[in-house]
Amino acid sequence: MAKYIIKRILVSIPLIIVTILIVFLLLQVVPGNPIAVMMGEKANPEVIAKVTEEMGLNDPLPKRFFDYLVNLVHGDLGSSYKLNRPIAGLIADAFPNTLKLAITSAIVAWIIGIPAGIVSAIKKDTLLDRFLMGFSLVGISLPVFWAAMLLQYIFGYSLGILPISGYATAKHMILPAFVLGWASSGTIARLTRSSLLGIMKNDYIRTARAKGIGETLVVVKHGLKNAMIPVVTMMAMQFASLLSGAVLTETVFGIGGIGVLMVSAINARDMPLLQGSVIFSTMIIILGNMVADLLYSVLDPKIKEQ
Amino acid sequence: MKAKKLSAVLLSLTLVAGGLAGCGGDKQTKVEYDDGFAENVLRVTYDHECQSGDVRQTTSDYIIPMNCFDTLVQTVSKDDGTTELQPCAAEKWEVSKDGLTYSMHLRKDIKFTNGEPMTSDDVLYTVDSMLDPERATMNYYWMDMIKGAKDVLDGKTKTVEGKGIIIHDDYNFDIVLSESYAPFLSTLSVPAWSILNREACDAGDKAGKGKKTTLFGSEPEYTIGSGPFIVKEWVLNDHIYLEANKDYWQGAPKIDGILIKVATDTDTEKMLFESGQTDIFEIDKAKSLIPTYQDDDQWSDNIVSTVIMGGDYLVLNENVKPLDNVKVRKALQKGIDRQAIIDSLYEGTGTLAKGIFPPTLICYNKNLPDIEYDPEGAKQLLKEAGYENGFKLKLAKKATEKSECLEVIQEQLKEIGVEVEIEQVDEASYYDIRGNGELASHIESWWADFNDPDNFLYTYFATATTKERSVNYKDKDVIKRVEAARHMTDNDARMKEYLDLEEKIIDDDAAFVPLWHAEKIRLVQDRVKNFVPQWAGWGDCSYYSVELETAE
Amino acid sequence: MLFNNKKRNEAVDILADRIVAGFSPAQDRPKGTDWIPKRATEPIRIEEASEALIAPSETIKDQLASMFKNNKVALVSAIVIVVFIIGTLFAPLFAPCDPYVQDLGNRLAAPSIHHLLGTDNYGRDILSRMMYGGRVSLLVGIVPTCIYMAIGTILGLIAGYCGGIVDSIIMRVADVFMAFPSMLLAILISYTLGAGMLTIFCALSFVSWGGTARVVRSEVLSLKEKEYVEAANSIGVKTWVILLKHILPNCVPTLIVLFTMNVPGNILTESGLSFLGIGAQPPSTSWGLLVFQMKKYLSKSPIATLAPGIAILILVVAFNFLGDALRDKLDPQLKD
Repeated sequence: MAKYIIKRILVSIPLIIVTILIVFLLLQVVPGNPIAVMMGEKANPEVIAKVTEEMGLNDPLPKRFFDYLVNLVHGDLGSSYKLNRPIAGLIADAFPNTLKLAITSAIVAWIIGIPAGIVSAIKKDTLLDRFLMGFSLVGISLPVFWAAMLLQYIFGYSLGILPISGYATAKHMILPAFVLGWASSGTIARLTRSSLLGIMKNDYIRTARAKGIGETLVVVKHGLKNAMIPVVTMMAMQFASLLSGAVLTETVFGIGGIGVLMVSAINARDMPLLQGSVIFSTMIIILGNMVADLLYSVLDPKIKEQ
Repeated sequence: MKAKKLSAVLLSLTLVAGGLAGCGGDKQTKVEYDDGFAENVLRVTYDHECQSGDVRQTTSDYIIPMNCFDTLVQTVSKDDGTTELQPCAAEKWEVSKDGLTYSMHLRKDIKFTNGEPMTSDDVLYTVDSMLDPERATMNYYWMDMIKGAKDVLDGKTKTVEGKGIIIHDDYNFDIVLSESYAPFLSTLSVPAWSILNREACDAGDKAGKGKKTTLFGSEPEYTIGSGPFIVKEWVLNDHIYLEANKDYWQGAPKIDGILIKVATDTDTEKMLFESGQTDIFEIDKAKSLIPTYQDDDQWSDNIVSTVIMGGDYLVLNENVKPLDNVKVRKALQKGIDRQAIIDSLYEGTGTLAKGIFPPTLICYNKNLPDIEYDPEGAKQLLKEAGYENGFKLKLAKKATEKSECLEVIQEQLKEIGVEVEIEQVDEASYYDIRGNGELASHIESWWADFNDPDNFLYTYFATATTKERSVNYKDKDVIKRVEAARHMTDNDARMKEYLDLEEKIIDDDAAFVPLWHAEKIRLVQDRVKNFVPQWAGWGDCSYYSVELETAE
Repeated sequence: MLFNNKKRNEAVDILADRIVAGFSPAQDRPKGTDWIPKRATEPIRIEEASEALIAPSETIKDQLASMFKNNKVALVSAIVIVVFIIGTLFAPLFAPCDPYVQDLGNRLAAPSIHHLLGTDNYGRDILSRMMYGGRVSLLVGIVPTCIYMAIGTILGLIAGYCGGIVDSIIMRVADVFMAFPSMLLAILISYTLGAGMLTIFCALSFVSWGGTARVVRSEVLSLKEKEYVEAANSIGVKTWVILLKHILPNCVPTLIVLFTMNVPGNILTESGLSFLGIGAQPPSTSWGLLVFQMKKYLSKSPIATLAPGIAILILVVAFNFLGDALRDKLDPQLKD
């Protein structure tokens, strides 16, 4: 296993370098000068030209790319052009917020999704099944930013029972977690249901039924463990994806997370910040991939046997 | 089942409609603050993360410098609408006849919050570090007319001491300019001239391991000023807390502190304000709300309106055909019904602009002719110019542009045969294209940094700036006059020159379509007393004068 | 040992397909497919092998017909989609008002006979704007999906059939595209090309092909082991003929289902991008842009921002229901 992990990490390094290169090139191609953006309406052409030179932005691209990589190897992610703070610090400040949002939404998704999927599978084709699957479907189809905005208005403003924005306390997390969680729970519920149904058709289930054990017990004892395999991997993937930043939800609820950081970096043409947050986000996804792969191979008996 | 799903959707819709129609917006009598700070703290919002508390690193976010630092001189607005320069850190000054030497006399009782007294050396440091090329500051242009500044900027020397700044003793020094710059004294009141403490800044540099990575301006511990408030806490993307400076030389503020909350969304700001969680709401960002508040008995008395010393202009690029034809430009001036926009989109706030200079500027010309809305006249002019069938015009819009008037202008110009294509570009690309002088037309919102017409004219009609702002003004003579006017020492002659120039630019040449002069409109909670808006109608503001009435 | 096995690697690939299906750029949370063609994992049975020998196109047409007959939900969804498409495509015919005409005196009006959904902040009729805006939303939902699925299918076919180094390269490239935050890529592309519909098209068309490629590839991997393919190969039929005549048609059911699941993702992504400020340009509009523009008038005229959001919701739900039904019908493994 250790060999596998190391192999995966080695393979990921070129991936990250390519990502950095892409971001570099894209920001070169995109028009816009970070200094001009910072000065905004008070732009002064001589100042912009001078400061651009002083910040090394006119240096040839290969030099800048190489310098960046060298610094990266030494653990130096550079400083944000706009906020003049070290990138590592900015990410370290932003990530816990994304983490909070990811964990709370994931928990909501799992608590709603898995039981819904199980119940649906057991009560296949009944009204309950259809209702739960309909509910899941709506969750997947929801325009998240719209739902977020609506809930914020109703619960935060009209009814005043939940905080409008910010992320200081647990109470602040309720609305955003619910919005994202509902959306993710849909996928989990449906996957649980279809996976369980697939398992339930198998021979050994039929045998257990023939033995006369109750329906629920049949499911729980024999089917669930195997059925959960793809679900668990999906959970890992969703979590990794949430960790890489939910831009729209973060914007609506004013949560300063990685997603918002990335978008503001693009808007300000803040290269170091963009690079830093993209690298971070990509690494999370790669990590998530790896964990899911590992989980799958560990859990799936068929594969284990080989 | 789909039916089940449909009814679920309908049910939620009803809930939504009910929720929306329902309560919300009633004034809170006793507010429970979500943020954990004391009651006697003024709560305001910022719609983005504040860039820095160091004026060397920001050219737009001045809320920290305006509350935590002092300038030598301050601009104060008087009851009659005019402004006056008053002493601040400098208690008196003399200006030489040739306008080159400013003898400044510092107060002796100003202390920075690290215990250091403010001395001439601090002023010297302020200038030197702003000019230092290793810091890549953006505000150096406020000081580049000081003698010796160019050498520092080019890296040839490290200080202007002995040339631009001559220190007589701890509290008396001269600022010497390389050529006379008439508004210089006025410019000493801008936030970029916040006086920094040498020891504090050096400590910030040391802790941050470098000038470019200094902790001064980003870490509360190292951001040290002499002003009425102290930077106490800074949580990125959440809030900044400025605590009252009990030892402030003008006297301690009456409030315990200022809490600046980051609220990127106007809707969020609105909700925060109405539930009492914030004390000031800048509603000119969401003008459609204004009538709601004006009509609401609860809130109608809480509206504070300040005339902005600035103007909105539709800028026309003389490099782009057919805007090079003065008749075409005049036709555009006549073809936009600006009053209709003010009345509908801006709910009646703002005054029609006749020229470039706003009403509160020292040389406002109230005798400029009005620009009439005259679509027939406009069509006639177009015909005379050879564009009877109109033409296509590109109008650029920033993605973050909150202004809604572009689409109305588009409709109005359709009437005179001009087909406007609104091009939306993201902010950075916008500045890029504008900087290259390639925007065909766009709307500029300029507000004054200091009370002088040079601040307005030079921005658009000097050699380099006219390209940078995509004006590309063709009259080289006028441009020379604009650049020369800064150095005139005879004030009356200078003012007359500016009035002349304005007439030529707007009336004769129709370089712009002057739109309007906007107002800064805020909603202020009942408990906020003595709020003094910034003299130019800026959003960033000093809250030193504020008192909070605590509920019983 | 667990990890030194060819079959093991293949299983990892299959797992990857499942995982990868989660990487559409659809807004914030990963849109997963809870459905993977089971063919790829189960041993082949005789019945299926013979089934596969039948020209697949006939079977699909019949299957679709019977599906609509039996499944009312799918039928309603299909009708809803068709109605939306017709309503928006022929907006100039059906729209009650000109969506560009402003009426500054009648801004943010409540619904009335003249304006069934009220007016917006310039006094323009909301219903008409929604009909015209729907064109953009639908176009952006459907066309880029077709494009990237075409790209993904071609690359997946090549990768799956050729194997070896070609396969590795294509899959690694797919990895890069999938690991890269897709919203970011879309934003960057749109800033480069300037905001506008063309940009959104490009941004959405070239970013998400990875998921399709992986799924198609795994289909191909299992299909190419089948007897009839080996038979065709041994009698010397050219590679591209095999791909086109034997393998691709068998992928079609998979592709149909993926399509109905990807389109809503794209619609949601476009609305998300418009919400962030890149996308349709005024005075034209899309549903996402409408939600964004009317958001600040939520208290004054809630219907202005609710209606487009609900429209998005209904359309996406319809596509998803249809996709479900199609999947149930076309994937033989799930047949009862």
